[in-house]
Amino acid sequence: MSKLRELASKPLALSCAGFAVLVVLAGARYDGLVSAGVLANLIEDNAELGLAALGAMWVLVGGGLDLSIGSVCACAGIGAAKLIVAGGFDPLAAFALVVCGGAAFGALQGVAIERLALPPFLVTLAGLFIARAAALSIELESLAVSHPTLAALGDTRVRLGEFSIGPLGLAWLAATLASAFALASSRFGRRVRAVGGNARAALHFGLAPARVRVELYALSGGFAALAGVAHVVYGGSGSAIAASGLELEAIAAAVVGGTSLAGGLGSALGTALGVALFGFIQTVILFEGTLGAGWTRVAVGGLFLGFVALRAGLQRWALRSATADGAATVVPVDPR
Amino acid sequence: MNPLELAGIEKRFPGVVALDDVDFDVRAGEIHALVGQNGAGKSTLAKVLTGLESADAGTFSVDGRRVRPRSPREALALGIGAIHQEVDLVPELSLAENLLLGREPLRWWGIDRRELEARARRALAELGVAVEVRRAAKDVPLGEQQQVCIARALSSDARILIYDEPTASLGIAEVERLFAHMRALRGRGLAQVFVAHSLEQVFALADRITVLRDGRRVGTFVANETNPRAIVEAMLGAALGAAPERRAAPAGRVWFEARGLARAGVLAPIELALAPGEVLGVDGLVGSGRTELARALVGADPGVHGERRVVGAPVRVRSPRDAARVGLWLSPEDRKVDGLCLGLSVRENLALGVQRRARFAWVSRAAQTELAERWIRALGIAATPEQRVGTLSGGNQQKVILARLLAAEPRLVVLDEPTRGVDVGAKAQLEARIAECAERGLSVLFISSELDEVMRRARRVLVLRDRRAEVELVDADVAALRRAMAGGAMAERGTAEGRDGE
Repeated sequence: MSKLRELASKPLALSCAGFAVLVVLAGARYDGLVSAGVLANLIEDNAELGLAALGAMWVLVGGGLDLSIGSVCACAGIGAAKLIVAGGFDPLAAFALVVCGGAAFGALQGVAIERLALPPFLVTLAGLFIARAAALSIELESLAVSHPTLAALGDTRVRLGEFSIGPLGLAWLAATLASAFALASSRFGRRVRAVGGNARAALHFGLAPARVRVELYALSGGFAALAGVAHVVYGGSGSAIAASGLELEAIAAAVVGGTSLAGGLGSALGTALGVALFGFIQTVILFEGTLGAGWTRVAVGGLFLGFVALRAGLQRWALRSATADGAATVVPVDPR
Repeated sequence: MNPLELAGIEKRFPGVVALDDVDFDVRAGEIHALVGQNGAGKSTLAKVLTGLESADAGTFSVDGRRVRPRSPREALALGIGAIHQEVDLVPELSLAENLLLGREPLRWWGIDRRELEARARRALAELGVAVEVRRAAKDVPLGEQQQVCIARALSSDARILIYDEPTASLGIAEVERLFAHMRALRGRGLAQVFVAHSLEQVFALADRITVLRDGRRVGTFVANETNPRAIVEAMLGAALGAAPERRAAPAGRVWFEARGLARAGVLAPIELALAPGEVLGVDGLVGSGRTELARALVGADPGVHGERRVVGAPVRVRSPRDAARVGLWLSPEDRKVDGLCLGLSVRENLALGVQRRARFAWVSRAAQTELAERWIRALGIAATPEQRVGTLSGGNQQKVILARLLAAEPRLVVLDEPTRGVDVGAKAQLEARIAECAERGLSVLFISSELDEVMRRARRVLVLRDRRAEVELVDADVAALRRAMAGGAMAERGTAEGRDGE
């Protein structure tokens, strides 16, 4: 009982358990679903969302919200493509440039939130419109990129027996591990958790919450641009209308992974797990074969709702049974 | 040269002079209390001292050096630490992480967790606190959280400590421990500023007392040479009349009864009965089940068992709406969160109370304004009908709640901490209004941590402990009430050094 209760209060453990159950069930139904090849594809296919979700996770842990992720991702993608195709930039230089641009845009939003004392929802909603418009003004049509460096990058794979991982998977993996480490063991991570958990306490403790928040939006903008880069590397083209709604998928993945919308709590590994969960559902539906692509969205939505409902229910139950046990140990008192 | 000296401090907010030419100083090895009514400027002065606000004019010196702290960060660097009213820790972080937030010991790879925990343990051991520093702040009792806040202020090498109403969330034993720490620190030569509401506490601790009124310093008194009455008169700027008498309940019939009122895991079965016009006191330490009882009575939480009877007949109360139907209303503990719509005006908040009784679907604007004006006059609320409730002081907000309750013509009101954070003058007014209502036949369930307030109003006091009824006292004194609240813990506390004079 108490073990189960403890588990219920750990969202990450719950996500792991849910994922494991899903893999076992699906693996039993479809031959070849659970294999090294599918896993490798899963990672490579979802790196874009994975990178974006890390940014969303960081902002949420700091008590904020970033709605501009999808637009920034698209803008960075089309921007990088344009720089390579029309500007003659080396892809790596173009990528570095747009990631810096994304971070700068994010920081600007952070400054606006702090200086104007406006809710992050509104400021980043404005950011969503602005970044999308900027993307469209760069190039309306999708822009194909072919460059030797890019081709070489696409062919790079690290092999581990049957399993292999490409550049996008590596980037996602590295970013996840770095975020996990920073969240747990760096002063920055501690500051972010403090500001998100209780901004007033953080101020009283001599931290500078405003600065932390600006840094967070910069980080999120950087991750969103990185996701845009991943889009270009993965698909070989940039597009101004790509990644629409990506910010919401990213937030959903972070929440499934145990990040709290109220701030203060979050997990990088959990966020990666959330992304993998969504990707896995899509793979399963592909294997099913008879269902149309539209069904993947229905499945993802249903899964998300079921998951958060289950978690909330378990937490309420754990809380209730804990207080009931506690009250039962109180010895009745003689009225005199 | 004193550790801390302020001269001619002035602070203006739009439309208000919060501090006007205030001088203040603290000596080494001294506890200097700062008292005043709400709005007198003591919180503003505390904020200036801790860097949360910066003064518009005047000089601020630390050890004779002119300074100008603009944030808590800068104040800390000057050796000014602060312990705030609400225990403010980051709930998700561990106690150790909270204690050393922003000052974590680093190794080449990041934060050195082992060293962090060792330092936190050392800091707490110095205060004589043994607590597992790896536990998350949210899983630890309030008292221990407060110890961490104190340890935090001390471990930052502060030589000047500002306590802004630090006992608001503490139980008796925890207050005792805090005071023992403060006395020990005084012995070590620290300069301490104690901002307080309770004069009882001020006289138990302070060496000097500075009184503020309307943003000005009325005077600074040596604690040994003055008395609480003189301080209150200085705070109010007027002589005090005689204290109102508590009245006996009219004998005879019972208006309201609760039998076996309980909520699983939260409240053990409780019996209570009230006559019309009776004030029943309910008391107990923080966490004893006071608020749970208040909420259970009006059906504010689901899963309440037991029976409620009005004039002998059972009534069904499954929500505050049901409760209102039989004339049972709650003034909740946290007025800002549960009691008022802060964004609405005084008029709109009052209209919410009468809406349910309105004959037609809506109450006309003129009737609402008339209602608001009537209650503003009746309770002496310092506001206009169209003023937003969020802009009022705590005392006036509480009066708005009381007005809303009374406007609904209740038979029984449950008042949960109606005077918390309310200044002395407004407290007296609220008390007088409640007494008047009782005289006209309203039954009152009065919950308050201020024991003398409860004793003044109620002849019968139901004492709760560990979420069950401990005992019901009739015509008891404060000492007996305190013993009942503390239960078994009282025996060991008897020998503690202290302030048991009252």
